[in-house]
Amino acid sequence: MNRTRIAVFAAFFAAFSAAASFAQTSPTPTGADAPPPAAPAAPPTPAPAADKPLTTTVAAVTGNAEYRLNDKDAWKPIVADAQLPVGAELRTGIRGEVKLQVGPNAHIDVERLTYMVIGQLQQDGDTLRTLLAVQHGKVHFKIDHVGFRNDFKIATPTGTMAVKGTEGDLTSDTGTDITGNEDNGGNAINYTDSNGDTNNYTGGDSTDNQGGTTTGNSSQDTGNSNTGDGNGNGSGQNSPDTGALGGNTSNENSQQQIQTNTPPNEGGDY
Amino acid sequence: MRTFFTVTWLTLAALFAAGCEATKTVSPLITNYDQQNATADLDYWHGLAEQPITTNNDAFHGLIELAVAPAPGSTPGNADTCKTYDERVAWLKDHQYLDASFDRPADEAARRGTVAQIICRIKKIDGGLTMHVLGANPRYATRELVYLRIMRPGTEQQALSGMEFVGIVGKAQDYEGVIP
Repeated sequence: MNRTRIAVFAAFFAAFSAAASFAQTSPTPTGADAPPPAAPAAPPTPAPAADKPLTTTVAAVTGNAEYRLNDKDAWKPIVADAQLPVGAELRTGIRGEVKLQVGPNAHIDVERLTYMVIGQLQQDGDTLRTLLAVQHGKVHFKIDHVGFRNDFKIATPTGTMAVKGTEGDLTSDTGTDITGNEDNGGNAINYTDSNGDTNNYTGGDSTDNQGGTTTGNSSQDTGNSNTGDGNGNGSGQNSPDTGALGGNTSNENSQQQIQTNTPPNEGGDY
Repeated sequence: MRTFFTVTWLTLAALFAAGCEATKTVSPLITNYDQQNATADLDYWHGLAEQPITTNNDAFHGLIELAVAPAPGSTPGNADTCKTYDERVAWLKDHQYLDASFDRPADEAARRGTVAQIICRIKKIDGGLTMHVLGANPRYATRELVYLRIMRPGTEQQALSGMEFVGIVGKAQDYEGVIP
């Protein structure tokens, strides 16, 4: 009896340990066995027949930056004054930056370690339609009003940001961070996460800044805090964040930041 | 009976020891490319972003690139002159970015704490009172980078995906001593 109990005990722990060992020591599959990489930024949908094609012009290049016309093309260095068509892919190095004039209304700075695709660029009646897909990295956007309605969007693996006309930064890695200028008005930035939840963002809504008690950021974490699962994929345990406002007196730019992580939850009320 | 006990406990001990082993993987990335090869440099960074795990060798190559500013006018490319993992570890220790006691293998998953410690030292991030007293140890370096929004929340023991690592290096590159 005693021997049977010991055997059962040992078998139980052996099975438990084997499972733990397998979970932590299995080599990551590579090559043919490798899982597909993280979901790419929304692949640019070929634009329907455009009323008037627009162009993307490279205004300036700093550091290491390359482009290719499609995924079968070879990478080439980006040079100033080059014209990039719809479908072109850009990538920058750790100290690379590319300044783009995208159509008549958008100034885009493709900053360090960014992979971006020009998905759509066209004038459709009185509307300028632009879609940029940022797989990862950081872009600074400045959208002007030039007599047309702006339909400007930046897609990331975790959501899509629409901008009516303002300036700010978008950073994408395992989540998406958006920083817009404090003087945004009229829901100038709109973010829809991968769950389809939409949030309008108006700079003047910040209670911290309206209250006059702080002069810096109001920060709203609208997604889940991703704490990873210890296996390196960073997609494990998520702790919902309620979107608390927090002031920061050391920032001089008077900006607001929206941060979302993967996968986003229902989000806060910006 | 005594033999049975011995075998049982030895088996259990071996299994528990194996369960504590860190994740290892074979990285397909090339890190010893020529310094002038800009395309290979971009292949490294953007290939790393697609990897499920960042190994120590991959991480140290990227962190050396973060640490070394290229000479003005030089061709943008690889700033890491080291050709092997051992050379990278020695370089990081020589520059006091990495603790002298570090002895982990190249193919082991890089831990957030190790990466955070090196970034804090490269960017001269002093942190709060505890870091001033204890220095940039992995635990407090991680907490400091989470506070600075360079890292997303997590512990110093966790591994990093390639996308996380590239995002962290990008935000560290942006860091200019201003709290976001």
